Amino acid sequence: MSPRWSLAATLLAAACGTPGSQTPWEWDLPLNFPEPEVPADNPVTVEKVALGRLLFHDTRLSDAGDTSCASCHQQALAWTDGRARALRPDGTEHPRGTMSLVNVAYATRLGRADPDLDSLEAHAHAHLFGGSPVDVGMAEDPAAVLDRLAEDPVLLDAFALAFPDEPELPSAEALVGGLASFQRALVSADSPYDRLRFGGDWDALDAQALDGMELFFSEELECFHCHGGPNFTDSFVHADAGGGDAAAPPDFHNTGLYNLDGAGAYPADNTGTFAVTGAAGDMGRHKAPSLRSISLTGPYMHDGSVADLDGVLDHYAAGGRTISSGEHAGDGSTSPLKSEYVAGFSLSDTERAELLAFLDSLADPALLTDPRFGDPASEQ
Amino acid sequence: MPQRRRLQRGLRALSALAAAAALALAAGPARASCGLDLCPLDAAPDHREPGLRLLSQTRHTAAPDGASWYLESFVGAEGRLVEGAAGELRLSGSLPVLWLRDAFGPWVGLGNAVALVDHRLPLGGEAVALALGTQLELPSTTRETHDDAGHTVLLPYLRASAAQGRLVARGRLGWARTLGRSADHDHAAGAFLPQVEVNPHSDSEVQARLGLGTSLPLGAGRLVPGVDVELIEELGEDGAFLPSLGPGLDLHAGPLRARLQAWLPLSPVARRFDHRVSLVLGLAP
Repeated sequence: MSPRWSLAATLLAAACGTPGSQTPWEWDLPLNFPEPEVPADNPVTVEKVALGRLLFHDTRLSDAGDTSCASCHQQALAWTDGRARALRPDGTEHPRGTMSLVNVAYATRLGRADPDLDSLEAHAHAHLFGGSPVDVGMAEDPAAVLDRLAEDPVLLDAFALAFPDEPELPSAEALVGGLASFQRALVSADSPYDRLRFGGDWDALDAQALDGMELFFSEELECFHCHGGPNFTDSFVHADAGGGDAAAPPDFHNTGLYNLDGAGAYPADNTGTFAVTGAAGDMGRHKAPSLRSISLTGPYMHDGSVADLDGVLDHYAAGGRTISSGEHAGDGSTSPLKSEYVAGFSLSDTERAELLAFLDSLADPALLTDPRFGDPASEQ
Repeated sequence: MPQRRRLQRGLRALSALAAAAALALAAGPARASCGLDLCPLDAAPDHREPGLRLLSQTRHTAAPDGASWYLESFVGAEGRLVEGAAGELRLSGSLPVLWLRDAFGPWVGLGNAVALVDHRLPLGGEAVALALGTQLELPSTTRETHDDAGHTVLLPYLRASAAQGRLVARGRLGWARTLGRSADHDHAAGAFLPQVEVNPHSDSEVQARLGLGTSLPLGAGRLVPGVDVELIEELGEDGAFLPSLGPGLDLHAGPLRARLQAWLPLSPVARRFDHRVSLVLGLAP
């Protein structure tokens, strides 16, 4: 039996007892690890995640029929692609790198630098059909995409199970709702760090990683100010946050990666929040990404211009990057727009190894091989 | 919330209560807590307080993350300073040894000392006791944290207790104000820092506690099982409302006063602890 038929049979069997019923998604979280905030009009269900999984790996979502979400967001690489900059469906290079989707359900803002992109639904819609602000539009005509999907009876069944009250399927809303639900389900809470922090397994980290954790959370290195909280980012909200500050837009940060003109300018194709707001002070400001599974998501920084985590540490230790020649020459450490937390620090070789060991403890290998989130084709 | 998590939470609450009950059976009765917990033992309307009382309070707190914990062991004394027509003025002081375990490892050292002046007013006769007081938490801790665990907190309060037949009622109302610097803890995100926060609080908050108990004769003394409700309202922007439930047991036996109490937060948001058990012992030499 093909994987699609197998999946469809499973879903149909699940739905047999109570036609039209939905199975709430069970978050597999440690006690006291918060659940994600989920929009009331798109609750996460087993059926939606199953539909989203099919769609996420379906190349028919692109006009050329050769690109799916999973083309860039690959499970084994914590839903990144290993490239410095993502490839668009037309083969051109995107200005920025693919972001990890691990724990994206907790993000208050999606993407790198857009303060207005505040839900996975909006993000999915922009990726699928939009040219701006994400400019990775996979299809320009939603109707054409839906027509292609409507030709697949297995997919139609999955749509019907996921959205039993929708009169016309597939629809753009159901497409977006399924993809958003699938991404919300990509929750990492079983890394060695989680077992230490939330499970009380005091031996989950070895001595080297524990020393690295102390460095990470020290005022000398300042890492945790932007990469704090359970998701190691200040773009974080959860179901119990109750609104207020916790749901507010995160700060976007200029880390001194560039300083083209002495006034803090970034390359024209990567000006960060400035590109959205036009405010001079927003030049080069980007969201602090989650550090979960960070050891697997290189190259690093928004434009993939730093090859590895050693290079990232060099950048922050210097309090900004200095590029001595070429079109991007400039001393980022003197940028007037740089975050106050990028002040520089000294790091011995031993401390560097400790910090890297701690960052490695944020990986959740089980999630990256979880068959519930893998390519359905791989089940063949 | 998944059923498994609800079940686990329920089991933890039951185990806290069971621990409290077990301690009560083993040692006799009691009561507890920082904030209003460190106020003097409730005035007994029909009893004169001793001139001097040695105090100890041991309080175990499970942190909101469900893994970290801390144990405070206060040792101190309280005694009468002045007594006259204007009432009775009492002073007390205590210093805690603090043990804790969080992701960074075990730690032991000093916590914040607490000094207190309590003025029992000559009002209410035999049935009602009224007192005004001020508690001062001093930054004596040897612990270093990102937000500086050494705070100076002023807590003026009003407390009252009343007895009618076997029924005993007690209440306290206070306003805790951190002096000198901002101590606001970010309960939404800060609760997830791997470094456990000991007695988190906001810069300014109103604390109220109401309790009811039944006085039961026990030899020459009495036993008072009861329940308290603590309500904390954090003042300022995005302040949280933090209700807790505290079943407890008091013992009055000659020179011995004791209170055993468990505390369970009632709000899933901005919880300061997962559960807490406290034992206060007071002995008049």
